[in-house]
Formats: sequence, C-alpha cells, structure tokens
Amino acid sequence: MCCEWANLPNEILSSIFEYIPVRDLKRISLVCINWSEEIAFSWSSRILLYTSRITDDDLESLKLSRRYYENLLIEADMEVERLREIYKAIIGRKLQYTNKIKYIKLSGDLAGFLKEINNERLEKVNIKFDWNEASAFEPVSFKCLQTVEHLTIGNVPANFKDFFGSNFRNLKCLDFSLYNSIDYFKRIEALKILVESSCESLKHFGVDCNFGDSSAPFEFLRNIRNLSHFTFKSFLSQSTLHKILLESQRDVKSISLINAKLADKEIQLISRNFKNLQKLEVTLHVEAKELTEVGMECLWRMDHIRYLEMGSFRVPKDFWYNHCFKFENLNLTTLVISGITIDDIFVSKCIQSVPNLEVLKLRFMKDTILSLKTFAKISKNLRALKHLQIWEVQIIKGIDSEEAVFESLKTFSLISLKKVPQEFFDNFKAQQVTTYSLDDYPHVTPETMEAIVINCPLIEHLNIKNSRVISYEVAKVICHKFVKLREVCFADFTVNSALLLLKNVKNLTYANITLPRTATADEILEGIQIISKEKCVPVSIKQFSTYENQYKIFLGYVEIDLYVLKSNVMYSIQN
Amino acid sequence: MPNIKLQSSDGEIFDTSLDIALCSLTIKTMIDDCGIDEGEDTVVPLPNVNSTILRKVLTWAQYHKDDPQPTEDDDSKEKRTDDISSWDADFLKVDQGTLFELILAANYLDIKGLLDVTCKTVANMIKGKTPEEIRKTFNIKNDFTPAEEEQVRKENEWCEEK
Repeated sequence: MCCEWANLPNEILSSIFEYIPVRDLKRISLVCINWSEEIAFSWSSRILLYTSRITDDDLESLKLSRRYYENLLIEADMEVERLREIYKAIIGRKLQYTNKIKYIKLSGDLAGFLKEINNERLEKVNIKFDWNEASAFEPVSFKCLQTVEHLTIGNVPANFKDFFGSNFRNLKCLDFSLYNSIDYFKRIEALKILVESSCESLKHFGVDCNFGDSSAPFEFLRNIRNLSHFTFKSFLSQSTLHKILLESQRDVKSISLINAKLADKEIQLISRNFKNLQKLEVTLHVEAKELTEVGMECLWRMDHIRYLEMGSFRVPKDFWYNHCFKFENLNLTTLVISGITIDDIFVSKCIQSVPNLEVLKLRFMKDTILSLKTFAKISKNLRALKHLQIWEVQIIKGIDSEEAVFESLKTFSLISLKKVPQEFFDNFKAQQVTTYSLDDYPHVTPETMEAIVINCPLIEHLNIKNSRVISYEVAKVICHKFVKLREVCFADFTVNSALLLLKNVKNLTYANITLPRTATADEILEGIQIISKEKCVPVSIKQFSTYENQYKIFLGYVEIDLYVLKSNVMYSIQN
Repeated sequence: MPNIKLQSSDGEIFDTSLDIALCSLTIKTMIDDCGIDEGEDTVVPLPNVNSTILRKVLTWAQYHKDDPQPTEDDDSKEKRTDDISSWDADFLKVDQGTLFELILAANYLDIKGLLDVTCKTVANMIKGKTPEEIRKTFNIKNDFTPAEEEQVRKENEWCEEK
C-alpha cells in the first residue's frame, strides 16, 4: 500500500478535520488512535466542555482523559471546592495547555474560580459573564482577564470601576447588555471604562441597554478605531449613542439594527457613510413610523450590500414595488424578509429584482398565501438559489400548477402548520437538495414522503418536527425510499416507527428522536434490545443534558439523541 | 515572464513559466533565498515530489495562477466543502494513492489553494460515514483496545457544539 491515511502528517489531518462538523468528528475519533489524538488536539476550539452535571464517576474519567479544552462552560452553581476539583482534573493537570482555554461561561462563584485560573498564567480567555447576583467583588485584578478578547456582559458587580478598570485591556468583541438595577449614569461609566481601554482593538460592538437620557455623553465612542461590526437592539433614532456610531464608524462591514425606531435620515446616513458595508440587518419596532418610501428606496439601492434583512417593514405594498423592486439589485446574494404579510405578486416582483440571490428566507409571514405557480417562478428567476426557507406561509394550489425545478438548491425548509396541497410536493423538484426540513407540519402522509423522495433523491438530512404522531406507513416510506439518508431529526414518531427506522435506514449515522407521551419504557427497551441483537451491535444509554428526559443512546456507531416527553420512562430505562 | 526549471524526485526536468511555479510558496522562498537571476539556467530540485505528481500540480497551478490571493479576513468564514469548482472536482477524480500524494505535495510545496481543495475532497469522503466505513474507505486498521474505544466515546459525550 503506497499511502497510509492513518499516518498523514498532523498539520494535514487537522486541516482536513476543520471541514468536518463536530458531530462527525466525535465519530471519526473512533477510527484509529492517530486520528483520535489529532482530533483531541485540534478540535478543542470548536467544542465546549459542558460540565453542568458532573458525577464523581465522570470526574474520575475526566482525569484519565487525553483531551484538553479551549472552551469551558460551567453552568451549575457549584461550590468553589468542586469547581477547583473539576478545573484541576481537566486543565490543571496539563499545565502546558492551560493557555488554550478561550471561553468560559460561569455562574456561581466567579471570583473564586478566577483566582484559580489566575495562578495558571493563562494567555487567552474569553469570558461570558452572567452574574445572577451582582455581588461586590474585591477590587482585585485578575491576571487571566488582561488578555480577554470577547466579553459579554449580562450584569455588573457593584464595584465595576475597579473590576473593569484593572482587568480588560484588549477586547475585540464587546456585547454590552445590562439588565440589573444600577443607575444610568453608572451604566455609561461602565461602558466608557471598557471602550476606552480597548479602543484600538475593538472590532465587534453590540449594545442592548437603556441609558435613560438619550442625550447622554457618548463622545468616547468616536475613539474606537477598527470597528467592523455593530449591533444595536432597540435602536432609537434620536439617541446620541447611535448617532455617534453612525457618524464616526464608517469602515464597518456589517450593521444590525434590531427592534429599531428608524427614520429616513439614518438610512441615508448609512448609505452615504458606509461604503464598505456588506451586511445590513434592520428589524423595525412595532411603533416605527418614521421610515418612508425615501428610506426604503435608499436601503434597497445600497448596491454594495450582499446580505440584506428587512424585518417588520409594515409599509404600503407600493413602497416595495415602486421604491425597491423596481430597481435591480445585482450584488445581493442573501435576502431575508420577515414579519409581514405578502402575496404572489409581491414575491414575483421581488425575485425579478434580485437575479443573483443564493439565499432567500421569508420568515414569520403571517396570513401570507402563496400559490404553487410562485414556486415555479422562483425556480426560473433565481437560478443560483442554494437555500430556501419559508415560514408560516400557507401554500395553495392556485389556478394552474407548474413544475418548479431548482437546479442549485441545497437546503429547503418549510415551517408551517397549514396543510400544503400534495401538488406542491409533486411539483417541487430539486435534484441537488441534501437537507430537507418540514417543521411544525402536522400533515405528513406517506404520499408526501414518496413525492419528496422522487423529486429530491439526494436527501441526506431529513427533519420532521413538531408534527402530530407520525404513522408507521410514513416511517416505512422513509426507510425504504430515502436511500441517501444519513441523519434524521424526528419528533413524534411512535416507538414502533422509530425502531423501524433505526433498524432499516442503512447508512444512518445520527438520529435525534422525540417519542410521544404514550411511549412506555418496556416498549423502548425491548425494541432497542431487539435491534442490538439483530444488528449485533452494543447499546449504551446515558443521560446527556440537564433536562431530565434527554438521553443519548449509542447503537453501535449510530448516535441517537432520544427525547421522551415523560421522564419516568427514561428513569426506568436507566435502571 | 521568464521560465524556471523544476526537477522532480525521479530526475525529470519541468521547464515552467515562473508565475506558475510561484504558486508554490516553498519554491518562491527558495528563489528569494538563492537570488536566482533571470535567464540563468538554475534547476530547483524538489526531492519530495515525483514526476507524475509534479505534472498534476503544475496543471492545477496553470489553471489557477490568476486566482485572487486568499484574504486575511476569512477567519469568520464558514468552512464549507460544497464549494469545490467543477474544474477542481474533475481534476481530483483520481485514485486514492494520487490524492494522497497530491495532498503531501501541496503541503510540501505550500500551495494553499491546492491543499484546501484536496482537504475538502478528503473531508467529503469522510463526512457522514461510520468509523468502520471510513476504515474500509481508507484502508485503516482499528488499533483501539475496547477499553480505549470506550474512553474516547465517553469523552465525546461531555462535549457540546459551540
């Protein structure tokens, strides 16, 4: 044999593994020792060690582990002693790797834990603070925090001045959301301290915080030099904070304005000032009334933007037709429209203006009715479309139906409670689709599934969620016809249907199954034993999250996340 | 653009245009360090690449020589494997031994574009397969003891995707 894949040089293995989803990586680490070690080495930045429920057994096993972690998530309120023990088991043991920890989310005794880390001379720590009780800190500087790059603040301790002032120096990413009771003046003070110490390094800046008086002094924001993205929740057009950023940060590449009360003049300002903008996300506040057709046109015609999201633009249809869709937008590759009611005419006009679209999402379109013909039009107009997502849209047959043939579509998801006519599935043809989702769709029939697999023969990932109980007949179609299927995510399958699938889908590598309330422990246990016997594979069951009724089952190499709505069922399985 | 001579491990000489050869950062460094003058008849030895593979690499480089340099700002980019161009996909329809050697060559010659696309190809061959299928595909021996396998599996369970 000329080539030895098992022993590829480590740097090549790690570049290959970068392209593989974490769920697959876990499985791949079972291929051979060398791959497993390389994965242990290279995957840490993509994984959280999740320690909300660590038993004594787990702790012992962690001590034996060859892995190290860049990310640590400890959610439960634990005693400092316990934290210290876990910390030593997973990190302290390998001193040379401690500088790899990048992300820590902590509640419980934060200060106690930080002191522990402080002793280890960490180089890089990303912290999400989430203080449930913003208790006073001793005014100490934690060495490990000096290099923190990413800070999300949910709460501040009472003596924040000492804490912020002496700790954070090189933030790249700051999410500032304050909900606790400190007064407005102090909020501004806290923001100022953080921004001033990081004005050279800050790249991402997000604010979700009420500062009271909107004319408060935010001049210090002008000093941020290299910002590339900002997010505002509750954007107010008259706020000084927002105004200063819109005026001064002209090099940003992406802006998100969520729940915005926006006027034409801000849109014009954005259009004029932000020549490098690639992504713009605007969701309007319910009471936003100041945006007119002038602002709409200006927004649509920023032709350097590639990603545009327009949420809750409850404006007359004429604004859309005459001030947006009238103008071709050739650079747009992603368009998200959400929170309004539209119709066939709207979609037809829209897609004609954005011929190069790759991603189209129509979300939360309450009371929207689209006929089959519109999908044919989408497929004809948007030749490059790769992802299509339709939420809460009612699909009707219309006068005459026509085939919709999508050539490049990879992902399709339909989220809707209303029944879709069978003709839709018969006419929706997408040879390249590998991921297909039917969410919140309680009307799945065997005919639906037959039509889907005939028209989309390459489906590898299938999601059917939040439906009513799915029949055995549907399960039969899925396991006999969907030959490419590898991953499934099913809700409300009966035990029998679920077992049928597990037994018969040949290439299944991952399943996430929610069983209905009627499932009994005996049924499940017996079924799993039969499968393991027939397939001659080992079974192991383990509770895997803080929710009592989520279990992970390994059936040979197939990994199954099993959710049971009645927790006593799993309790009896485990025992 | 002047030409340059490259010598494969089995002694074959490839007379190549310089802009193609410079796709390889390894060759670029060699030239920069040795200060090769134009017109001089220098041969750059590449002892780690045989003639079959070097010929393939040069074909790839010829086609991609005008590609834009990868930008620095791609750390936020999603790592996708479904964006291999049809030319590259055809180019990489080769047996596994050749693919293996191409990866090694791309790595040794430091050609980022070729390394990326070959790694993506291998990732696609791995994705969604069970460990046993992967072992079969790549002819890998399972060298775990049952206890070690159990340990690896246990460690995986604590991990959550970010």
